Amino acid sequence: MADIADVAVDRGPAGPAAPAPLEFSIVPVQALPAVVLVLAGLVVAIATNRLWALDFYHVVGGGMWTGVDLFVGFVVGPIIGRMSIPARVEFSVRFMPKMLLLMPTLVTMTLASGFQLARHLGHLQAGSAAHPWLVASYIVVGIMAVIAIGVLEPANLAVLFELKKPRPDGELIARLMRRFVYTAGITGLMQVATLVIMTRLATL
Amino acid sequence: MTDRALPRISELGVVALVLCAISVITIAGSVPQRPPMAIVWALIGLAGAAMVVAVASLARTPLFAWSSFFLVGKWALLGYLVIAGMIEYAFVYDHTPEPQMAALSTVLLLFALDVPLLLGFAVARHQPAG
Repeated sequence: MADIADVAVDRGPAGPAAPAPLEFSIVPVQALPAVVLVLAGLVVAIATNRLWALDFYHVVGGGMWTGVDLFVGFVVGPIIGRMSIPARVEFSVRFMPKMLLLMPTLVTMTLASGFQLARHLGHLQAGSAAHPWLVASYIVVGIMAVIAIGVLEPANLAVLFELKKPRPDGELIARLMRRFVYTAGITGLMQVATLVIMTRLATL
Repeated sequence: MTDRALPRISELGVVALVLCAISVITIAGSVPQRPPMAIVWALIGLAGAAMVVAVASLARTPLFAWSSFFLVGKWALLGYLVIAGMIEYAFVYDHTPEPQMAALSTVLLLFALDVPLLLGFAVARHQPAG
């Protein structure tokens, strides 16, 4: 998300009357049924242990996770960086709540089905040729999970709450958003590593 | 009341998360053999200690936006309990051996508590105290 870091909030000239806070929902509640449906499907896929269902969840979830991460980090981010400040704020309040639901759902789908798939195919066994690649993928996922959950998600939430204030602190928002820039390179690298590992696993 | 001197909750929470991740990788990387459980439990113990220090430090913090902390924390806790519950379900379904299961369940519990702590703190630290 390069250059989103430069977000500052301008709500017009300063005056005694505080401007009205931005109206938006931090968690897009209307999308929750879709999340529940996807997770219920995941439970069914694991419970029935059907290869196609597990493969479907893993490929769809993983493909979207990697695609969204790379697209947002290296395509959308720089574009937002060149937008006007009010446009960046406008974009952020619509975009970030959706990411708050989308990314954890994709990650849960991918990891849960991936582990079951590896078990189903016998890749979890230490003697399997795929095992070293699998361990590598655990490490890659571990790094991405720590960055996403420990660094980016807290910043995302804090920015949304700040934008809800009548007078958001532009400097604070810019500081929090810089985390996306600092971690975009690591996340990008990890996603490329994931692509290498997964394509290698599929062709063993 | 933003950016006041606050304990390093985020750093401690991330350390706990990293230790949890390493312990899970150690277990998952050893399947079907028994992982080095002493190392696994040491990692889990350190993660738990980091969380206890974080919670204790936060509890002693005067002038903190507790209402924002609990608002975010309770919903995050609900969400992450669901996620942890689903992962636990998969481990039970797979008949994970008892020693590994105990360790994984403890890690999941720490994970489900750690993330709401991180999220609640990240929001509350920038909100007015009260």
